[in-house]
Amino acid sequence: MELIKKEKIKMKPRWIFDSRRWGKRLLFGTGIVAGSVLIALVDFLMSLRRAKEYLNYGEVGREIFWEKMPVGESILGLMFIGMAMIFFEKIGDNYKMNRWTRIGISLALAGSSSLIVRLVMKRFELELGLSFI
Amino acid sequence: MKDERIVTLVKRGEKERYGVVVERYEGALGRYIGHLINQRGEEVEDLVQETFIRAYENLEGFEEGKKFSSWIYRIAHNLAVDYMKKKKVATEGMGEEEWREIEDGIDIEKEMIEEGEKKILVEAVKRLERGHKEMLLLFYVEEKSYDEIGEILRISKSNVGVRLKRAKEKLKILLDNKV
Repeated sequence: MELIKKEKIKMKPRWIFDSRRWGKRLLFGTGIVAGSVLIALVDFLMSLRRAKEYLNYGEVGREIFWEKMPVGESILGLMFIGMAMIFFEKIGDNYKMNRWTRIGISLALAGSSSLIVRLVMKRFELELGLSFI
Repeated sequence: MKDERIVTLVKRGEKERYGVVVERYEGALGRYIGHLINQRGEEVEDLVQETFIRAYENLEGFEEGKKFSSWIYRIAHNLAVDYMKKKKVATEGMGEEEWREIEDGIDIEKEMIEEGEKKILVEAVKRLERGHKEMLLLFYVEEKSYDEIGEILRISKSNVGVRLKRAKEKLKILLDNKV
């Protein structure tokens, strides 16, 4: 108490805690946005490369499918979604939710925003496709 | 006056009121930390002091509408866990006398706490791993509700129930095997 009275121990300013709170929200949002954009990009590249069609051609077809799969983008996308899941738990009282509810909400958010991104991409698919070719 | 009201006043500059918080929680936090780290004396006192310093420094981060006791217990819990990791404190090693308090607090299986079996119960709780021990301590000794335990350990209420059940089961196994 003496140290407190003599102001040798001070309270940290409020903005530190506020920025921590907002930082977590920002990281969660970044994870969802980046993850969903990357997953939409993977889907776009898969359709551009017609990868799914090869799944009908047995073992060799499956090998070609995996060769055509944009692995780096997929891993990165999943990593971002994973990051979002981690930070979702740290926001407010979210830890009180069941683990599967938290995972479900994060996946639903990532999935729906990925769908929106994909729809927007579809609108410009021709131009995008040409630029990739 | 409620803890939360005192905290508001301390935040507004009435620093001396923090002494009330210290007085209220000194004993309880010392008991909880002591049981958790299996130590007594200076180490516990240092950790309790550190808890109050940390709590004061982070008081602005305490959200209104929350329970202050859960918040300060969480700080104490984290400090105790850090201490155990740093010192690699084993979960065993506490003396009979120290465990008598736990023994008195636990009402888990009344028939087992009969005079002849008290010693066995004491041994059993001593042997529990940290996760199980903290659940039993918070629920039976500190008399915290599921909600409060959830806030202290940052786990869901249902998870508290599951973990507490497991801790009781583990304790029962140890008791059945007579430790």
